Amino acid sequence: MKWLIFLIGFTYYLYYLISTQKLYLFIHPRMTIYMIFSLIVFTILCLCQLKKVLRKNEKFDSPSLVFFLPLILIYLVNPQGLNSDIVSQKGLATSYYNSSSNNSNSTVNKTIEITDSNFCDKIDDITYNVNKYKGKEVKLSGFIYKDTNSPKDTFTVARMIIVCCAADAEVNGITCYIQNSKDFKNDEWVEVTGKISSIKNFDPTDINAKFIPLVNITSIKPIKKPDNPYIYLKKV
Amino acid sequence: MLQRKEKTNFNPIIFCLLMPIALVILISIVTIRTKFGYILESPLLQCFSTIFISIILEALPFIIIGVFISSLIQNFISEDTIEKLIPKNKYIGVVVAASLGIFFPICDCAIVPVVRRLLKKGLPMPIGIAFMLSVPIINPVVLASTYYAFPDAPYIVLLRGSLGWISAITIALILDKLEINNTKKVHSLCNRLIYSNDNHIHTHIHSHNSTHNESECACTHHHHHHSNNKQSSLYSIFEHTNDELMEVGKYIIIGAFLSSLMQTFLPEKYILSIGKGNVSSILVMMALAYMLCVCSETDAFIARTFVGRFTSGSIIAFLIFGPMIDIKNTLMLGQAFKHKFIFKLIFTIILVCFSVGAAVNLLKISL
Repeated sequence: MKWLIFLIGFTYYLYYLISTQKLYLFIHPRMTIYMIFSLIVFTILCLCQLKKVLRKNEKFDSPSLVFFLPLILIYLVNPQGLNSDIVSQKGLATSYYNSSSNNSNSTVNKTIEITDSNFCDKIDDITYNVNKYKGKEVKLSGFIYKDTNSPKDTFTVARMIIVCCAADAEVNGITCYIQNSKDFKNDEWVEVTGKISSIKNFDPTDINAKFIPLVNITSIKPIKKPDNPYIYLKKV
Repeated sequence: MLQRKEKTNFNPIIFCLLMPIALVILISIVTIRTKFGYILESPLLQCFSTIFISIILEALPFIIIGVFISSLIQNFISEDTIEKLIPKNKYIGVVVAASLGIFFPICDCAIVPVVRRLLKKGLPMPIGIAFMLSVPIINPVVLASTYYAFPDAPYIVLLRGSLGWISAITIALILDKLEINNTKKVHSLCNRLIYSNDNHIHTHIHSHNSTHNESECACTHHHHHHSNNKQSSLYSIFEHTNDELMEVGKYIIIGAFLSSLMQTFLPEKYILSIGKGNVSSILVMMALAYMLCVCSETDAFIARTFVGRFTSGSIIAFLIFGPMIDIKNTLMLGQAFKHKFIFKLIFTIILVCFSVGAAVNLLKISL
């Protein structure tokens, strides 16, 4: 009986996640097909268990109460994805791909727009070739993260990058400078435009780079948190 | 264990009683949500439950596949077939089992139920262990994802595959040496007993359920079960899947719980700041692999972020240690093996992976 409740609860949750696409808050979209597969299996298991429960004489094991932990969390907390608190736990990642893309058009003196699709490549390219990009204008959006180490009036505009599921989320971003940064709080989503310069590395865990890029913000405006806060890393 | 003993004799009256209770629970959930909304929406709890649910969701399809394969084995492959297929020579058997992974695209979550079933069907322990440890590393999907994670260093794929393969064989043989006395002395006939968990004693409850009773004594009385359910085999497979999922699921949930607890409250940053030396970095990366609980198909992408910040030996250790053992696998093993054996297993894995990492560091192979 308990197992049946768990099965039904979980099957419904899976259905809910898939139908509302909330699934993407937890795992990479490419896993959707697996989720549909588990939904089907769970439905079948539900029916099997129902049959078993309805057959009066049959006795069955009840599972331990552990199974209700996820159900309670699912329906009570109703998790809405990761937020910048986790960044302070995980720390900032440096790179996924370096030098994987050689941007031939980087000489064009236009604003570099960083979008969801080229976020990792661009950020890494800028991080590793600060000098090439110095003085260029760049535009990106993300959430604000203030590290305890960051110098005054700087913060990181970062995005969460997901390879497979939320458990392996990494945070990648670029440091920005603006006067009176107190006006901006952690986890606020902003779109910034600014000129790239460099700053001495203040992150003691990253010993690779002496200088890291810094965006001197010329304009900043708050934006709404996108429906899909993550960037999904394509597995080629 | 206690709850297992109380068997609900289901009847409609209970059902009628349960409905209002369910309603009350539903209402109370709604009130709790409105009253304690600020607690429930606290960022830490949100993070925690997101990671928790995502680990379960990610592991779920693969667990189902693993449990499903295990049910198929239970229903269609007999002990005799396995005995015939196993090479007579132990060493050849271990090497063959470790190499089989190339054909099995099963990752580390799915492998434990399969191996557990095979062991209960009479597969010798070292062969099973070699199979369990090497498959998640050298399977084609994992090697391909490793290749994509390190596009500019394709030899890492080779390094990961070969070192993983070698260490799986080494671990299996070491364990064989460690366990050989036990096996010979106590259970010369019934050597499968050493893998079973003592507190899993069950009576045979219903006809199809052969999951539980083997742990009592694997060799005597579980043959007669699967002969009489041939006609409804599809149903019995699903029923079996159900039972096994119930057993394995518990450990996944606890494992996911611990892992997400650590990820939210024990900052990765601090663990990483412990050490970057030749020795300490290996230990740090192995600790990280153990607690992250990510699938072996994706850990290469995570390892990628540590290149340059950590020694290459530590990254290799991360890549081969992670698939072999992590929190949720440890708990799943707890269901199939004795605790003493699991300690030995994990200790050997740590030892071997550490020496592999140290060797890579000594040889100064750069990534």
